[in-house]
Amino acid sequence: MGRVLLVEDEILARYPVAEWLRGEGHEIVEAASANEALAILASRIDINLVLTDVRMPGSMSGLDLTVHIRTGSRPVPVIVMSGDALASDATAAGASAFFRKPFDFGELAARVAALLGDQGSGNRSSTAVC
Amino acid sequence: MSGEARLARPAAVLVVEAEVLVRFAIAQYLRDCGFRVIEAVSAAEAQTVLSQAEVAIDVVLSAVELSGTIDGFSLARWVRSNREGVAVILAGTIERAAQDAGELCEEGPHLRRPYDPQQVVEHIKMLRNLPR
Repeated sequence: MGRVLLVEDEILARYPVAEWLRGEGHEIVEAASANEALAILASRIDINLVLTDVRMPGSMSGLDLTVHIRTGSRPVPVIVMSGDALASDATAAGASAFFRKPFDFGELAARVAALLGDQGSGNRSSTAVC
Repeated sequence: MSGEARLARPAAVLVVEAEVLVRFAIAQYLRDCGFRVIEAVSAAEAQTVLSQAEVAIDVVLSAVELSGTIDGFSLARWVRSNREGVAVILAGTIERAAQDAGELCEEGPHLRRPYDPQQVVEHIKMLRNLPR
């Protein structure tokens, strides 16, 4: 299991995917735009995989974000999800997988697990004192 | 939903915060304390979630300053009119948001223990300020 950055501007699409993947044991960091994703990636939060939509508000699309991540200093696997982009565009951007919306959450979770398994599991210590 | 059914599920908090690193830190803290947390970046997103009658929300923890045309105060008024029974906590500063999250944890589903909201504040500041 690892830490996944989920980038999706539609909240009714974002939180169900996030909750499903948390149920599979992953830690999910949520971003509503590519700009938010860049802020996360620039922080001290270690990200093991990025799951991104394509069409989002702002000047950077999910495909632009994918290129940025895959050509950066710390490339991590990227899964692209979209209702209208082409799988070939996602591959050209450097994505490891493409999921056309609507997709099966179980299949997505299996692909996430497989890609994270290739990297080894992430570790996180909780700071919460409850 | 019946009272028994409501008590059988984890308490649900809708965190409304425009700053992604603050939102992540608060949401993760609350999840570690056993809450179900849905994250919204704006009042509009919060209203979208709250308009889904089947989505159970017990508490809205919202910043006062939000992106978009609706601030936390307006959101609170909307919640009172449209989702009766949902409590609203407004936080005007990061420190206040951390304190409110800590108090939620203190009252939450886990056994009560001492908490240090200052730890939450420091964690948020670390995420926001330190370069990689």
